[in-house]
Amino acid sequence: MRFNIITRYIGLVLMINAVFMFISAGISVIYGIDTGFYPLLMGATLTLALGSFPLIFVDADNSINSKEAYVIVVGSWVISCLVGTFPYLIWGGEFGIVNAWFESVSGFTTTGSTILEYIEDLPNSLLFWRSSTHWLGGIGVMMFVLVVIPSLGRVKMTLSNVQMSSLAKDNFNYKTQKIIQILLSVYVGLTFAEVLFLRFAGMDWFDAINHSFSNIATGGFSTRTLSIAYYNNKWIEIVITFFTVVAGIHFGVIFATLTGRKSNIFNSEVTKFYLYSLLIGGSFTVLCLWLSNSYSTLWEAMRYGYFQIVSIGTTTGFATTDSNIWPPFAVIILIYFSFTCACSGSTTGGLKADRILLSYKSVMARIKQLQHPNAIIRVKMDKVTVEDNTLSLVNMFIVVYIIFVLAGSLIISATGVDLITSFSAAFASMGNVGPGFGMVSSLSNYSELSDFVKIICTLLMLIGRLEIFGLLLIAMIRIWK
Amino acid sequence: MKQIKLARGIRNKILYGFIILGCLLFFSGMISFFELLRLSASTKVILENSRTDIEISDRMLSAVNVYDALMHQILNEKEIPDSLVLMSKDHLDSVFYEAFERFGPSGRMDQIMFAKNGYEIVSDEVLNDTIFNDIDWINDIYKTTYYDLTLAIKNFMLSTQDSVDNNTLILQSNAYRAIMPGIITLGIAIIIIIVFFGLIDLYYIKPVIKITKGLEGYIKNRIPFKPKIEGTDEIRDLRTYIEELISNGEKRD
Repeated sequence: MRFNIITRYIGLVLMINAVFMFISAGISVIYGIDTGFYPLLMGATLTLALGSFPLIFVDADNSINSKEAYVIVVGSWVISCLVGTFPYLIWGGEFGIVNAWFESVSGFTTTGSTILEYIEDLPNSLLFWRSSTHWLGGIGVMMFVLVVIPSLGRVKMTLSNVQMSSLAKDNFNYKTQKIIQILLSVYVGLTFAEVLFLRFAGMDWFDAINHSFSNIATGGFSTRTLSIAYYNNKWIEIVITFFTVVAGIHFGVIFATLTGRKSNIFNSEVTKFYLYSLLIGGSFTVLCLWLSNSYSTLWEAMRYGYFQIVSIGTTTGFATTDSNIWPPFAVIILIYFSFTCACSGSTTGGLKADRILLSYKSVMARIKQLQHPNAIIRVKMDKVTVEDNTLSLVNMFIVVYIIFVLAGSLIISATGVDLITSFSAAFASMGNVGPGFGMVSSLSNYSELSDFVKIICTLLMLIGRLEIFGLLLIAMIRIWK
Repeated sequence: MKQIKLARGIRNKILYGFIILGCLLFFSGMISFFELLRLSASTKVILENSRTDIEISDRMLSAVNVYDALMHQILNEKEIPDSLVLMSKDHLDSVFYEAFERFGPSGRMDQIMFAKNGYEIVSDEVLNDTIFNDIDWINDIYKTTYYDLTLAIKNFMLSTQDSVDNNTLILQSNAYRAIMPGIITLGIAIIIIIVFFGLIDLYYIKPVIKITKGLEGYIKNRIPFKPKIEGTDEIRDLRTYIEELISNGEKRD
């Protein structure tokens, strides 16, 4: 393990963070040098110093092995979260050390939970930095490493193993550089498009940019305490719903659809499963809300029901209503979507639709196998046979994921937090969803939870974002030969 | 002997390293210095404002008390020169005017001005000789308006104290802001020092030790060696020269 090489690449990631802090400081200048200017400028300078230091000594080296790549990925996430706290800490206000760490981790992991009670108290520059952490985290800090590294020469695909779901990687047949270009162009393109649409829908430019940053990264940070409910504008809700659904689709599939390739949205089994799930789940929710008289008209039930299902189902976490007061059946549907979430290859968290579909298929195959012991039954996804090893890994991931959620709930409830809040804070953090139920519902925040609980939540966020094994491998690095 | 282009990296790298460290420490010191200066300035402003507020309140209270004493004398049918009453009234008005100029826009004087207007109406009745020794009127009307006014001034003093409390809380958070950048910068400086030491050890100290040991073996026992050293600076040149030295020695042997 060459720690010098690792520090170099982590340094590069820090430089990217510093650039975004400088941009945020620039936003502060546009708004007449608000109170966020000095914290951001200081944060950027300090991050730049920290990031540039290894670059002075360590020469570029493209032969990174998988072990080093894992450490670079995880190290970059954790250290980005750490430097992300600087502007918050220096600014002060509600940001103590734990709160700043929570907000930063929530940003970089695209969770979108917040400890802020009044978001409007934050200066615009800090709000922009907050959204930027989502945007940076959304594409993955590692994606930037993948952009930087190829410029130095040939590079192996090892870096993407942790950041992207392993399933997402299987879907591609391109080279690394091509993948990066595709993902970046789709990501940036969608962000621009959403900014324009939100502007036309009635948001001002600043809010449109911030919400687009959050939405495409399926984050959930808003510039308003009341989230999207603040605007009470159906056009804004329609635009956000549309882009949220799109952001939950594999970016490669979006690219393939836009460029008229074969493996497009209409042919992708996972995408169809994801879209139908949202439609069916959303319809049940709407019916439940309408029949239970939660909303007076069907249109209102549709407006709030579909928005919340899409928002939670893609781990975004924007809110137009307080789903805490919904009937239990609708809440259960929301919890189900908090687990399943969207497609791999997108910026969503959670178990992902791919795994749910594969797990379902493997169960069905197992039942068929029991009925016909001599038959050779293969599980196929998009007409491609899935290896048994992959199926075992998928099922193992689901089990480990649930164990982590239960363990998280147990630890949180041990601090005296009620059952609903404990469970929902654990699954919302693990799945990078953001809002849960109880004390952490869609229009509430995490400020009332204790510092210990907040730290547990941030740990779950990181574990979830790095697809569980990313962080565990680092924890067991000494025995990793 | 082949010509080697000499690298000049070590000095620059170490220099840059120290410059970054120096800048960080300087930066940390300057931030803390300026933040503490700002903190000191805001503390001074808050304390001065508080002192002025209390002084003005005290003057208002004194002016009201003096005027009230005159009113009592008039009510007791004592001879008071008009000039004294006028002077006292002017003083009362000027003190209240000064206070209003200072606090009027913030709305903090609203209760006082309302009470003063009430007191003025009542005291004008006394000055117009319409009331004499009417104990009920004095107790029910005059004293009530007088107490209303003094109570309003006392409330104003209390609110001044409350605002000092609030400002102290702001000062506390400002103190936190003054210290935090310094702590973060120092933390980063410590991390950089550790990384700096690690890198110097890895790139310069360990290779030099390795080369020294290898050369020692070569000189004592003529055991040829090939130093496994990476780098693009003088250490690489050193490795190349040693390799050449050893190969020349082997040729001679």
